[in-house]
This record gives sequence, structure tokens and C-alpha cells, in this order.
Amino acid sequence: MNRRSFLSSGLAMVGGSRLLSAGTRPWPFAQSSNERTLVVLELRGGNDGLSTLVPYGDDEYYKLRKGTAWKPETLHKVDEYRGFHKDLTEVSKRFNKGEVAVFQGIGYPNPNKSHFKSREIWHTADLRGRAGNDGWLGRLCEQRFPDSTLPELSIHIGNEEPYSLQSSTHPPVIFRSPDTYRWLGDGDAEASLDATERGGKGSTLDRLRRVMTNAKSSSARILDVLQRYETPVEYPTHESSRSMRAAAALIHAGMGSRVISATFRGFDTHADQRFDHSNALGILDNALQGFLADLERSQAGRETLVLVTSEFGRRAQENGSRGTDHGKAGVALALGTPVKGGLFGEHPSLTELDNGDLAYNLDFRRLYATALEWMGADAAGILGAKYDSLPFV
Amino acid sequence: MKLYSLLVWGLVAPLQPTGEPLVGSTAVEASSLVQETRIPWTAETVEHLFNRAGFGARPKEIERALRMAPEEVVENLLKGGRFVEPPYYEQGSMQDYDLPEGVSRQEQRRAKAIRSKNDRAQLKLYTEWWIDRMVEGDDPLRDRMTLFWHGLFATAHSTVKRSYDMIEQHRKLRKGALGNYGELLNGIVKDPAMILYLDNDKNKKSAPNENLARELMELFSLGEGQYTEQDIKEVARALTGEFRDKLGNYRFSKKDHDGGTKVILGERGKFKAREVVGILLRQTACSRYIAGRLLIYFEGVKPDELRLTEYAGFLARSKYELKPFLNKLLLDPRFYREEALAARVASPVDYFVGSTRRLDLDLDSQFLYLAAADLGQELFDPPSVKGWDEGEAWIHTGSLLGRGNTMGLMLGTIHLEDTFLPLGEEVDPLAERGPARKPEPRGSREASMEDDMQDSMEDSMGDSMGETMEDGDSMQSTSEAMATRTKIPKEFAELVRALGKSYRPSLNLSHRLNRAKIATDLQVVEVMLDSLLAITPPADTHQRVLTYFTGERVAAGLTEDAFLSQPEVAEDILRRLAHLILSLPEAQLL
Repeated sequence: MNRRSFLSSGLAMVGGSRLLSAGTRPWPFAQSSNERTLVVLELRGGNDGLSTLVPYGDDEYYKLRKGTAWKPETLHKVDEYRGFHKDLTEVSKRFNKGEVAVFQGIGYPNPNKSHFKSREIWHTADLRGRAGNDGWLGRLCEQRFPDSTLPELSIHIGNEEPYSLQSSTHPPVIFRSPDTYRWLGDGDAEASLDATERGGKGSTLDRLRRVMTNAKSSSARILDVLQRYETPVEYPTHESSRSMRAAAALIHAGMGSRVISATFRGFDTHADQRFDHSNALGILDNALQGFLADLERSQAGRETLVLVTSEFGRRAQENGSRGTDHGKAGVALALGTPVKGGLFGEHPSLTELDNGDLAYNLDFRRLYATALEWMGADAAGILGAKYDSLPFV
Repeated sequence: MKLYSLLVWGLVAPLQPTGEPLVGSTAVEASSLVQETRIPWTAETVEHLFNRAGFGARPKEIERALRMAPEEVVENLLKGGRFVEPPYYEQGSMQDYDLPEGVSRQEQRRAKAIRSKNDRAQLKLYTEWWIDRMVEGDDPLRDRMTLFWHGLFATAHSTVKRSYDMIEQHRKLRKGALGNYGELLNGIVKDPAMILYLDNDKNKKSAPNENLARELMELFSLGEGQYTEQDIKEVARALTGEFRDKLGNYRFSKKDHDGGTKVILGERGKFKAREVVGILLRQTACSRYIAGRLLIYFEGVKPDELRLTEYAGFLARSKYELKPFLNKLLLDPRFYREEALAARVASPVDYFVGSTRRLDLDLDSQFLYLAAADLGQELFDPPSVKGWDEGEAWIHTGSLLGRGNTMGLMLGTIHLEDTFLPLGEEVDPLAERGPARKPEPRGSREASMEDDMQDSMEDSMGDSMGETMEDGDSMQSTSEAMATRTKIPKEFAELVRALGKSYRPSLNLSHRLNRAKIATDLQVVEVMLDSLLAITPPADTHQRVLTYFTGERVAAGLTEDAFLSQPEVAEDILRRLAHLILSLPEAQLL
């Protein structure tokens, strides 16, 4: 190994910038930031609304859900009709303080029960799915921050790019763990990795080149922030929680990320739902507990709106495998300091079903419109039509 | 790859004195299959064929193929090569056998943990066998198609948790990979791993479960939107009673099967699984869906409507036989059109297995498995029943840097111990700081936040410095940076373990160039770029790589004409050059 070239470059890039800054630069807290940040957490697989916000006051619930129902005494009760799932302790606690907005019966017209299609619809806010359009958050970045060249304007913490952040002009930064998100090879080579020139063979190469440029510049900044981050808030060790800790660090640092996304898995509960779904909700609740407490520590954190969504709810009637099949209307949440809590939409009827499914009564694009307006964007321009906002911020 | 670099890289004798590419050998001209346009049979197009129909070519394979006609090469691909026996595997590895009465919970848990460990070990051994097949190239088209079917009939071990079922399914797919799609579809509907994965073991007359029925139509045969929700319900009924027994064998339970009349896509009858598959195969949507999936997988470009119709019709007329379809496609001059060459973003398996072949590296297949898994393509564990999103979705900021880093480990040009604490000394200095502070009341905390944090940062630097100083002797003036070293991240640690502690890449780049009498910087760079990339890089990339190489050579104190006179220095520079080239955006295209 050529020691010289490593020292002159690799370390200078990776450790060196930190070395210079650790003692002299202030802790990465933005001095004052009135800029707002939108965080979107996706529950992948189709979260069962009836097990999230349980209509325990409805006898019909216990008829539909013989093997998967939750008894009233296990729930965190909201009122005489509803209660949060037993493992949504933090969500319930914050709801009682008026800090959580719950969207009941959320969905869209002509629901599609394919994970993939419905996910595309939620991610693009376009009922045709990915009809060549960028994602709704990608379009937010394009419209609201047209001149931004900051790669980390939008960030996904995870392994896979969500459609929601797709943008032809403002592609997101994606990383799984800050420790591995950096070039570890020869530092001289690093300088040669990317090109400013565009116009290689076809546009694919142009896009790949741009990804490289963004990766190089953002990785140095993100590593710097995350390695220096300290917080008194204790997060669980689960990967989802570590992602949320990273999100909090980036927000506090005021590095200009306006949209952050992360994914929670394990919600496609076709069988043995009680155990699996509790587990998945518990992981979410724990991660939120740390994240929300952490956010409260800075102005930028207090200017952060957190949405929790899923591609669909599940069938009203359970399926005989102590699970539930794909359904239609579901539940979404909004959390964070800006939120004025409460229940929005109607709890979907358990008797007047849409072909066996819960019928939606609240279009998810109203939730999006509200969040977009809160972000200072022209929601109708992004969503293609005007949707009435909801008074939760 | 061009002929020029083939001569160097493959160390072969020139095929033609001029070095001009061979266009249309006699055999090609005689062929009736190629009428209007001939296949431009060059090193570049041969490489294209091997990239798409296999997992890349070793230099000598391109040279061999160039001496044959395209028809002969494709025929050999379809015929396949030697059969290599998979390792022994057994059914009972995860069998739910009953423990004797009165066994404590703890012992039950222990037994389960052991079974699960054995189960993973069995699948690991088999996966390594499969990766070896790809690297060896015994039967490249079969393994390419097996990977295609594994992505189309995606099933994940993390859900199934039965290695026996996963291996049996894989053997079924691999055996039938070039056979008949209809047979494969029939097989997958009754496949024990799939039955477990999509909950059909719980699909009973008394309580239907739609999971398999939906994906059967949406992902395995027709494509989204080609059926109604009612069709799904009816197909679910037809699939009731298709179970898996405790050992992992397919079992039909008559009493759980709904024998009533169903109406599926307009057809009416007391259908069971086999009839459902028959109905699906008769749909125009089915041949279009499968032909479309194959075309885009092999060409990397969405087919136009005319071409899709042509291929879908061909597939239906040949009763879903796959060999005629692949023969037609791989000998279609349009398959070699400019637009399709190197237009496909390499999947992680393509990238790592392909680079191993192009470099002639000898690597532990466990490493290749982990490398691909880290970058988003874990064999036997696709992210969902939809398989992997192919194409540009593979590449984002994290995965692009990750590919380069992993390549550096393969080439021995990254030394993790210079950035992280060495393996085995996994003391995280940040963790040595004692318990996290308890939150203070809001307000007071905030006011003092900055000083507070700065203090604690300085404390921690002081604390940990002593610990790491002793192994930092060779890195003067960087000891402070050392103090902030953290342990090797889990992903890298696994990769390093898979490579083996004393790993040295089985490469001799300086020797290759030396034998070919390559002397100038420009020649070195051109040969390296050409042999490692599937595309001709744009001029600016060429220039940057050349500048890098010249810079490294000069820094090492070597003159241009004597570069190879010190092989130990030259080899190090050449490996870093290879690392740079394989980390470029250009290297992601095949």
C-alpha cells in the first residue's frame, strides 16, 4: 500500500476535516433556523388501521377480528370508541398532550390493493402511479427550492431509493450508515471519480455521474455531522432508531436538508398478525420516542413536521390465518412540535364496507397539501389539483 | 472491450493482421436467421452477449468466441456446459420435530436457535455453490436465467426460514430455467417455499387467503391491472388446500379445497391450481408480460410496442418454450444495436461476479455473496415478492460509494485499519465515555448546549487518544484523527472476514502489461479502461484517469519508459488504477 498517497488524501478527506474542526468549530447546531423540515416515515407492507387505532367500542370489530382483536383493557384509550394499540405508548402519551394528529379512514378513490401500485400512488400522489412523474417530495424540492444545488436537500436513510424522493433535478442523497458512507480508497483517485462534464453515452451515464458528485460532497458533510453528534436522548439499538438518531443530528446541524425519509418494515401481516404487528408498531413507537424528544432540543427540530404513512390499510374481516389481507382505507399520523393534535377524518364504518374493505373518507392528498403548504409550497402546483388543507399545523 | 486490449489482456495472438474487428464471418453470411442486418461481431458485441447472457467474459472467452459464428456461440450458450453437483443438503435441518415432554422453555429456545443456525449454514453452502457456478461460467445462460426467475418468482428465506424449501425451489428454477415458462409457473404455484412465503398454507375453503392468488396474477404472469379484484378472490378459492407438509413437501388437502365453481377471467369451472395456470397462459397479457420482462432484462431498454408484440406473439406461438425465444433474441441484430450496448446498469451480482471474471480474480464466494447483499441484492432474500428493482434503481449515492469501497477490498487497495480500529480490537472510544447523560430540564440545557458539548468533545478526545496511540506509530501527526477512529462497521467487518485475514488478490497486472510490452502511460490507461469497462469512456474520463495514473507514477519516482521496471511499485499503482476505474460511474454500465 502506498502510505503516502493514503495519508495525503484519504485521511485528509475523511479524518482530516474532522481533525481540523473538532476543537475549533462549534458543535453542529444551527444558530437559528426558521427553515422547516418535513420527515416522512413509511410503514411498508400496508399497516392495519384497525389494530393501530382500535375501535374497541364497536361490537362489529370483535366479530370481524375473532383471532386478531385487542381487548379493551390492553389499549391506550382515546375515547369511548377508540384506543391506540398497546405498543403505541409514546404516540398515545403525546396524543393525550395534543401533539399527535391521527388521520382516520385515509385513502384515495378507486383504491388499488397491490403493494406496489398503491405505494407508487402514495409516493407520487398520482392515481396512475409512476406515470413518468417525479415523487411528491421530489416535486416539493423542485418547486420550493428550485435553485438549490445542495445534494442533501432531500435525504433517505436506508438502502433503497423511495419513489417519493425521485426528482430529475433534485435527486436525493441516500445512505444507510454514516460510517460506511464515504470513499475509503486512495484519495488521489477520489478526486478523479467524478466529472462535471455531462453528455456521456445517453443520459444514464449523466445521471450516474451526478450521483457520484453528490455522493462525494454529501458524504464528507454528513460524516462530519454524525460523527460529532451527541445527544442526551437515549435511542434503542434497533436500526430504525439509529436512522432516526441520524435524522435528528442532520436536522439540528442545519445542513440544509429540508426533506428526510425513512422506512419501517414488517407491516404486511397476512398471518399471525398479533405478534408481528405489535413488534413492528413497538419498533416505530420506540424510535419516535427518541426522535421526538431529540427534535425538541433545537429550533430546527421544533420546526420539523413528521408524517407516518402506509400504502393501504387491511381487510376488515381477518383471513383465518390470524392475519389480514390487503385492504383499502388506513391510518396516518402527524407528529412534532408544529402539530395541533386531534382526530381527523371519520373512523371508517365497520358495517358499511367497500366490497369487504374499509372505505376511505379522507383523501391522503389533503394531508400532503397541508404539509406542502406548511413547507411554504404551492400545494396545488405539486399535486395537480387543489385539496383542502386540514387544520393540524 | 476492443481487439487491441484483448491482445494485451488475453495475451493472445492477433486474429487478423490489421486488428480490425471481424464483421460477418462466412458463417454469419450463410445464416438465414440474419437477413437484413448482420450482427456486428466484434470484441465489443461479444462482450455484450456474455454480459447479458452470462456474467461477463474472461478475456480468453471473448477471443474464442470471435473465432466462431454468432449462431455457434449462442447454440453453445443454450446447450450449456458441464453439470456440477450441488452440495448435499437435507430436509430435516429445520424440521419442527417435537422435543420430549417436559423440556424447559430455555432448552426449547436453545434447540430452535441451533436449528436455525444449521439452517442458515446449509443455505450458505448452497448459495456459495451457485455463486461459484456464475464465476466459473459452466452454464452461464442457465444461471443468468435462474437469477431472472429468482427475481420474478421472488421468495425470501428471511420469511420462509426453511433452507431445504429454498434450495428445492432454486433447483426447480435452475433445472427449468431454459425449459418452458408454463411448467415453471405450474411448479411455482405448488412450490412449498412459495406456499409458505405467500401464506397459501393458510388458504382454506373456510377462510381463503388471497396473498398467492394476487401475486400469481400481478407479478408472476399477467401484470398489474390485467384482472379484477373478483378474479383474485376466485383464484384464491381455486388455490385453497394447496399446502406444504411439515417436512417441506407439497400436499393437497382435499377437505380444505373449495371444489365449487369459479369464474376466472371469464372462464367458468371447478378449477384447481393447474387449470388456473392454464387460463393464465391463454391470456395475451401473459405472453406480453413475460416477453416484456425478458426483453427489458436482457436489453436494459424498454422494448417498443412493435417489438414487444412480435416477441410476445412468438412466445405464445412457441407455447412458452424458452430456448427458441432466447435463440431469437440473442441472434437478433437489434439486440446488438448501439442503444442497447452498455445501457444496462449492472446489478450488484453482475458487478461483483463480472469484475471477478474480468480480472480473473480468485475470491471466496462468501465474499461475493455478502458484497452483493450489502449493495442491495441478497440472493435468496429479495426485498419483496416483486423481486429487485433493476436498472438505475441500483445506483444511489450510498450504493455507488459502497460499490467502490467493496471493490477496493477485492483489489487490496483499501486498508480499513487506517480508518477504523483493527478487527479484534473493537473498542469503540466513543462508547468508553461512560453512560449517556440524563436529559436536563429543557431551557437550562439549551442555554449551555454549545459549551457543554464542546467540553465533552475535548474530554473524549483526551480519553481515547492514549488508547490508540500505541498502534499509531507510523502515522505521525495523525494521532488526533486516530483518536476518533471507531470500530470497523459491521458490513465491512463481515466482508473482511469473508476475504480471510491474510487475503492477497490473485492478480499480476504489472506482469500482464510487461509481457505485452506496454510502455507509455497512454497505453497503460487505454488497456486498463478498455478491459475493465464495457463502454468506451467519454474523453474527459479518459483524461482524468490518465492524469491520475501519470501523477501516481511520477510520485513514485518512476519514469514513463521504466514504469514496469519496479514491479512491486507498478503493481500497487496499477491496482489503485483498476480500483479507480471500477469505481467510476462508467463501470456501473454493462
